[in-house]
Amino acid sequence: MKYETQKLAYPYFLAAMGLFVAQVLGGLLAGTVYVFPNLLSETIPFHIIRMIHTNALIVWLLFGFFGAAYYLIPEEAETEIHSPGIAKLQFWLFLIGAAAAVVGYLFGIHEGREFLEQPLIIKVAIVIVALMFLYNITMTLIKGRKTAVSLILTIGMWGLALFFLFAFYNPTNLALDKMFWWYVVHLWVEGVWELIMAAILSFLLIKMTGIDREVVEKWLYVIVSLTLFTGLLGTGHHYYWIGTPGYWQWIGSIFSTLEVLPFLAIVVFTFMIVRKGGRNHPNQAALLWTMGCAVMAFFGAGVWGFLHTLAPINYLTHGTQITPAHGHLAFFGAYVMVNLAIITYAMPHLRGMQPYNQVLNMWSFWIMCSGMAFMTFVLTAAGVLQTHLQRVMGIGFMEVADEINFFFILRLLSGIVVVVGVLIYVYAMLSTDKEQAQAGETSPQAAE
Amino acid sequence: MHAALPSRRTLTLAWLTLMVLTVGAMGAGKVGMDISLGPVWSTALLLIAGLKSGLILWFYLNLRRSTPGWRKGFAAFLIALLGFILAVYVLTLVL
Amino acid sequence: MPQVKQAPGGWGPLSTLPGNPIMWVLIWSELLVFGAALGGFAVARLLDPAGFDASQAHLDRFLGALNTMVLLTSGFLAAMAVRARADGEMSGSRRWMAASMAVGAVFLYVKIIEYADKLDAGLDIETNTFFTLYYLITGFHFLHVILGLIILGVVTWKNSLENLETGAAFWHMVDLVWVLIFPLIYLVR
Repeated sequence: MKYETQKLAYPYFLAAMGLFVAQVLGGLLAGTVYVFPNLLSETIPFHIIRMIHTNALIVWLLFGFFGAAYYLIPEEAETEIHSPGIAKLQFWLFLIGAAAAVVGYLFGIHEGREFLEQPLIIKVAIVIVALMFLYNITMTLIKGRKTAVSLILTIGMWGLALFFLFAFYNPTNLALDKMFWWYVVHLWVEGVWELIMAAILSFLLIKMTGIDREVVEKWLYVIVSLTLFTGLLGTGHHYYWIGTPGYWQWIGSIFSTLEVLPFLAIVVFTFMIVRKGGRNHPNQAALLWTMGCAVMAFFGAGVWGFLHTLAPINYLTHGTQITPAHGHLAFFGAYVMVNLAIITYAMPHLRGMQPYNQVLNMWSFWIMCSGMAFMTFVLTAAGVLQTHLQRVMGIGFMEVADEINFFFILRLLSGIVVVVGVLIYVYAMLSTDKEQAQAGETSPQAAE
Repeated sequence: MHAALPSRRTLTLAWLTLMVLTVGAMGAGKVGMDISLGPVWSTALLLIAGLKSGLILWFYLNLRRSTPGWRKGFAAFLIALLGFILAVYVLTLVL
Repeated sequence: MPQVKQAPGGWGPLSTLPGNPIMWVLIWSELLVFGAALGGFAVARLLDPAGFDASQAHLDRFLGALNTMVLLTSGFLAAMAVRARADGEMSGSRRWMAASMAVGAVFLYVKIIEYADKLDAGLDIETNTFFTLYYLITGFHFLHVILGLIILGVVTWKNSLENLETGAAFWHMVDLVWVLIFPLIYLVR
């Protein structure tokens, strides 16, 4: 670690991991409710549990992105962060805002709009947090070296903030409501977040493989072009059945099919760079997460997205368990794993140690990935069965729900595996391995 | 790659060929008549379209100075697309 | 003699294509989009051949053919502009490019006449699947012609050879796509 202000990332990563644990525990609880439907139905109804599960996910991923930016921008821009004070203030404001939102949800205070349930005041706080962050990062970038990695990351962050503004527009017409709702939801996860993800992966690959920056940047440009080309009009695959004109079925089907391309490019890019640059970096766990992220994002976002993106197929699968199958693996593969990769890479530097607990961290990788893969397979099977029974054969919803109950038990089991993996990961990140901690004291920069 | 641009003469010939092929497409496509084309003329149309695309790629876009990989890639794209469309056309006639 | 693997600039295989490599990423993306749309058109026709052929009869095949020639000619003029620029003829290159853009604008004019005719006849994007696809595919292409003219304008102004090659490459792609659209939508029946 070369710059003092990179330490600003530390609390962000801690908060990210804390909320990660909260998120998967919420998921575990929600998965349990699927198996025992009346569990907690009076105290914390299912929709509140789900709200906490999804909101905690998004907030911790944002904590991770903010942390990643504070960690890598100084190194890329070769200068300190413009204002450490703003970064610290932003952290507390965001943390308190998130906590307030969760407490509010538990008391039934929310706006009810899926994923954008935050009360207005929390939304305003989010915008203020984003503005503080963007000001800080942009000022740092202006005075420092401008690399493709930091530029793409910053553009992604600006896009993230701008598209969130559509959260404030909530037309009473339900079709319009959904249309603009996707401007936030889709253009985040299938648009600007992909830019952030590609930038973070590029940074990690430059640092860990020692490959020529020029080559990585060229790939980054290609990936960003493909992402924007396919992702923007790919929004159309949400406009099939919400009341928008029929031609969206064609636009959405064609462009969102091609959304696989940027993810394919990321896989090719990652493996090519690692093959060329070698995998001798001491932080083997971070390299594993980086490569794993590319692969799982390709399957989760790319392949599982394509499975139900064509309008004639989506006509049957819409709103079945196919959707959470895709949603879970896509979020995990793309955005959870990229965060875990940068945290795995940065934490040893932030704590002034050698990369430690490699074995434990890599175990958590395999446990989490196995759990998520199994969960995805199980939900896919449930979804296929549900589609067939309910949409093709016309059997009633509740009857079908009974038929696919077995898969929900399996899903709960896979959820337990994931939670175990998460706990191991957090332990590996925060514990102190005595032998390596001592080695770290002698040469804290060794892993640079 | 700049040095190897096609000459003016080559470009002019390519353009003339493309125009002639377009007239050919008008004939094969029976522009003035509202009758069904049938498999022979439709195949001819697709072949002409492929040929014209090839000429544009080869001379206008100067693929002849590119690598064999790109040439194969573009050819594969055109063959796959036109082949698929022809197959669907034949299937439409059969069904 | 062993080939040098790493091309200058780190673009790998993309650097063997004329103009800016990112333009070729765009060109391939466009070809895949239009290819998928035309493939989809063929499949949609398979489901309703009689309806498609009846709708197609409303199109003006002569204007479609005319526009094919217009775009091919414009493409030729753009290629000549690049050639002239490579020979160091700055003003000659600009004249070729201006001619290319003027001819390109004719395409828009003809297409607007076509659209106006169809709309007057009450045939719009919601009429049936044929016209949904007709408007989507040709409309998307129409937007590319407009964008192409803007790009040609920009590279005529900032006319380094690299820029001209990049702009012309986009224009040729627009040309190529129409060469596929015309027979498949207007003629095959």
